Amino acid sequence: MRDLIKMVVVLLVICTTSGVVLSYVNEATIAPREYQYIKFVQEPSIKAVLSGYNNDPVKDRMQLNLGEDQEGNPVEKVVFPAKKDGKTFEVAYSAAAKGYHGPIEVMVGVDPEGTLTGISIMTHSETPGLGARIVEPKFTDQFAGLDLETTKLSADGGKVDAVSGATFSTLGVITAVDAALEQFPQIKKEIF
Amino acid sequence: MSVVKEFTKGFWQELPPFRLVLGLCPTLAVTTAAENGVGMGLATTFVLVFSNVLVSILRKLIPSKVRIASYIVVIASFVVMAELLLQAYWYPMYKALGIFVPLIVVNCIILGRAEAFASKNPIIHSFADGLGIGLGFTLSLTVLGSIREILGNGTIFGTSVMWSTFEPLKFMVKAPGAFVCLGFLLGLMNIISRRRPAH
Amino acid sequence: MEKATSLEKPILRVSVAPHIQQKITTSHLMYNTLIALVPALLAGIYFFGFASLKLALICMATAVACEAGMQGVMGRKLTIKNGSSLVLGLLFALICSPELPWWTAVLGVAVAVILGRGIYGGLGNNPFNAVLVGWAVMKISFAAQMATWIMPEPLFGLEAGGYIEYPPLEVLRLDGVDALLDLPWRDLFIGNVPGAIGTVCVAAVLIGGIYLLARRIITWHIPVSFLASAWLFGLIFWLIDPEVYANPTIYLLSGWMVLGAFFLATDKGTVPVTAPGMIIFGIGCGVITMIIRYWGGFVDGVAFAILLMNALTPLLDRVRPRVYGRVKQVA
Repeated sequence: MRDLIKMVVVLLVICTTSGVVLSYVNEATIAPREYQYIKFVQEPSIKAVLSGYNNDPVKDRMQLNLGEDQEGNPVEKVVFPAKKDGKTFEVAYSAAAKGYHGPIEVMVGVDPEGTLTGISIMTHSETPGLGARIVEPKFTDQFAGLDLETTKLSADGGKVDAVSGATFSTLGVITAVDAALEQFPQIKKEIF
Repeated sequence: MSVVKEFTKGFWQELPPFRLVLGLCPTLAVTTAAENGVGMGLATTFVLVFSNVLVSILRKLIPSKVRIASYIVVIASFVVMAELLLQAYWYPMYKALGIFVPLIVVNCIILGRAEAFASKNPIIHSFADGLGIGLGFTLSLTVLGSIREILGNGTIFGTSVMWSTFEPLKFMVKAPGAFVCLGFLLGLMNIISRRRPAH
Repeated sequence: MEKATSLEKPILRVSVAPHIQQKITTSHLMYNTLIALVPALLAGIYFFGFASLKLALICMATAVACEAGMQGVMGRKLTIKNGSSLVLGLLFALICSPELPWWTAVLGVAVAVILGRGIYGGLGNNPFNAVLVGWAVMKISFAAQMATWIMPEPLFGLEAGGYIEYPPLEVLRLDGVDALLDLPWRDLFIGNVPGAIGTVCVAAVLIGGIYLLARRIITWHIPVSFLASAWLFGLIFWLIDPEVYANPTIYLLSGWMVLGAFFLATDKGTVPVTAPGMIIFGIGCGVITMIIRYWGGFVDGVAFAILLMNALTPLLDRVRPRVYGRVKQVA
């Protein structure tokens, strides 16, 4: 009986300590992990959608509070402003939508009029060789210069040609871009 | 055995993975480039040193019936820590090693050292053993990774080292190349140790 | 060992089976195989010029040098005179494009001799066909060099066959069945198409194969079951949909099929020794070859089919006749 109690106590103590220590390490590394993620995943995308700035958009990033969604949870958004001589003239931020296989995360660059300066796909899990072709410049380049009205499939009266054989993946990108553009009026109020 | 000897045995006598022939999964899977070998080796060393020390500290407290479970919890905690730290401070390496970082938990070397050494030896000795074995593992993985990177890609640590018309032997960075390379290294080590019998 | 008897020399020395003695030696097998390969080489020279001969000589010289070097380093008896390295080198050249750069050929043969055979203990101890091991390593490493083909230009007599610009199997893969409809089968049979030196001319390879059968160097089991199963497998799919799957005879006459069946899939030591084992081996090779040709990543599947079946050889060797006189165990 004493053995049993000792076993239970020792295991309990080890597991508890492990849990406490790990949660501490997890807390402590949140900031640097986020920074590394921004640096290695988001920064290349930010550079792809913004141009002509002379600040560091990552360093100048701002966390905006965009009110509440339908369920009353606060909506927060990290935006990366592109500044020239201290004046913000473009902004980049990300949005996500469901693709054919999983979430597609898109970085969009927008100018003050709400026109896209470019988009870049950050993460996706679409089918290689088919849906995955949404990352190719041939597809993403056609978004530059479009706005909320024209980011639709050509078949629906918009100006986006779908990746052949991958309409769902294309629609996922369009939905993500639309979601981003719909948030733009609020973002515009905050930063321009 | 002295502390120094516990440390140095990891470099030849019990050099992993060639001597112990344990921990072959990461050895074969991540050594496509020298840098990945270093990263994997250092992550493993980190886990090995801390788990050895902790297991050694707790060796008189842990009842033998639950010792394996306790060791695994200890090891798994350090592995998760290593993963978080890699993610926070060495993101490209975290991406390159991928699933093989969490899989350090099941690396037989670590549980093997905890069970066979740290649970029976004082703290200082366990520390030296963990560090020696860990650095030996790093060394082996780096050598294996370098050979495969040079032959299979014409580079080492990303810098080009072969002549300009060199055609990389792609075979070496693929899975069969890993087995062939490991086999040749094992054979070479057997030849050397046969010529130089242990004292 | 301790001396157990007072006799200085044993009168009788009994070794393990087999006890039947024949005059067949390794050299006898190897030089006959070499003779059987000559027609294929001559056909290669006829269609692709003396570059073929040059490549064959480079490969054979490399094979002999590597074998001698390997045996020297490992401290084994020097056996380069038995001709096995010559056969290995020549076979390697015959399954390659006449345009193969010399260094690729040298490297490939060296891999075949050292990695495919030497480290296992030399001729007869290797589990996989050494030629194919060397070829596979080269194919994975240097895909572009291994797939550079030239048009046939017969030295005299025949007109150059100009129907297709790539080997028939590549044309099937790239352009579909229709592209080969006009190709005369006679050209496929005599080898007037682009392809590897020794595999284009099916007629020459067949002459060599029949010579091997006649001299009893090989038995009929593997070649016949290999070719028949591939043809029947192809026939089934051709009957299902001739728009997608070509006539099985085209598959039989193109690529490595015939050379593989007679020379590569009969490499002693890497194939089963019993008749049922050999037939299963041949059927496996034929079916896997066709599966790779239809749906695989590589254009020709003969090499990988044989290597895969090599891996099964120890299992197939257990398919053997009932032991004579054995009584069922009484419980």
